[in-house]
Amino acid sequence: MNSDKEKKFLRLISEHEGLIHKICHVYAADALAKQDLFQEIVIQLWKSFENFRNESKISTWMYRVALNTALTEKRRNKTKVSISFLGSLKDDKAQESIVDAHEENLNLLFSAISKLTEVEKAVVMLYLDDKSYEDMEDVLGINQGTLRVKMNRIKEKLRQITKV
Amino acid sequence: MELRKLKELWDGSSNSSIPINEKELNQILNKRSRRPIAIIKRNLKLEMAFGILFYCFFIWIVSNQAVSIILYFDIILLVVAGILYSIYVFYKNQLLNKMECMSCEVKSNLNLQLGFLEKLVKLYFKVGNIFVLLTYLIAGAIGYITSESETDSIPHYLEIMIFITIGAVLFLINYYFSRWYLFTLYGKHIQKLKNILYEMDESEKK
Repeated sequence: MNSDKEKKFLRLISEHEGLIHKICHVYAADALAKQDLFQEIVIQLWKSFENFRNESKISTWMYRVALNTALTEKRRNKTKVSISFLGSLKDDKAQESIVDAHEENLNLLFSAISKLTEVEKAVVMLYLDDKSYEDMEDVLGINQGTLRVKMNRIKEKLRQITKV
Repeated sequence: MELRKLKELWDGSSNSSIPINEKELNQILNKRSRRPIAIIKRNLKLEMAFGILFYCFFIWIVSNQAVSIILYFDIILLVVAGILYSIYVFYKNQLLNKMECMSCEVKSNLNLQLGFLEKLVKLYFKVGNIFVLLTYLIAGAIGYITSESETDSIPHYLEIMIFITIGAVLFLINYYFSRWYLFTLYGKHIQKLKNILYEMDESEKK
């Protein structure tokens, strides 16, 4: 393995690790599934890294690879509502921390997102990451008009879910 | 909860993750992918290894035969089978390599994967059925040539009838078994891809 290339890749992963973690939390149910998905996304990013020519934004490229992996992943377990967002990919140490209001809200957010369909999850993730509809189209390949319609439906769905 | 609040929560949600280090990265990169296409690629290598093993075994059998018309027949069969199998493996490998583009737009990648996966399943199904039929016909032909000198205990037409009946039953069993097997292997994944693509196109069609 080329160490220079590896270092460059590691830097890239470290800079955008949050993006991968978010996708794992949205698409995988438990700690084991999250770990599997995280590893799979990193493997796919590494494989695609060689062909990355800076023609698109780094985050667009990462989102494409990560979502392509998450949507076509063969899951060990059926996706269910993610209970604790702090279920770290490394171990469960974080779970020992006191559950505060912020965590409760996070749980509520991820629990609400987990009730959406696979495509809606992808759309809402990009939306919450402040991506423009142009960027979202670039990642998903769905035209902007359709994305707007979907987003309105998702907002309504989330409003209903989080109201309860 | 308001969307603004959701966005704030979302922005803070990745803070809890522990950064990955070089050692961990190496460990991850050395692991085998569990993606359906990676599994099919590994299975193809296994299939090739078995194919080569069987081929070597048949070469060994043929090389031990005495010179006769059957020997020439077997050599031709071996050559034809080798060529056909190589074409099959080459074509399947090409399909698998073109099957996905992970850095492409999600929708186009899913479309690509679905199209190639359907092609692959059709190829599997056709090749499997043709293989069983050809093997049976060739086995029948060899049996017919080798038993010609023996005295016939049953009438010729009855022999042909039995041969056709057994062949038809075998073919039907293989046909339905292949359908069930391929559906079990790829059916769910194909359906999943179709559902996602349908959802992506939903509003565009309305």
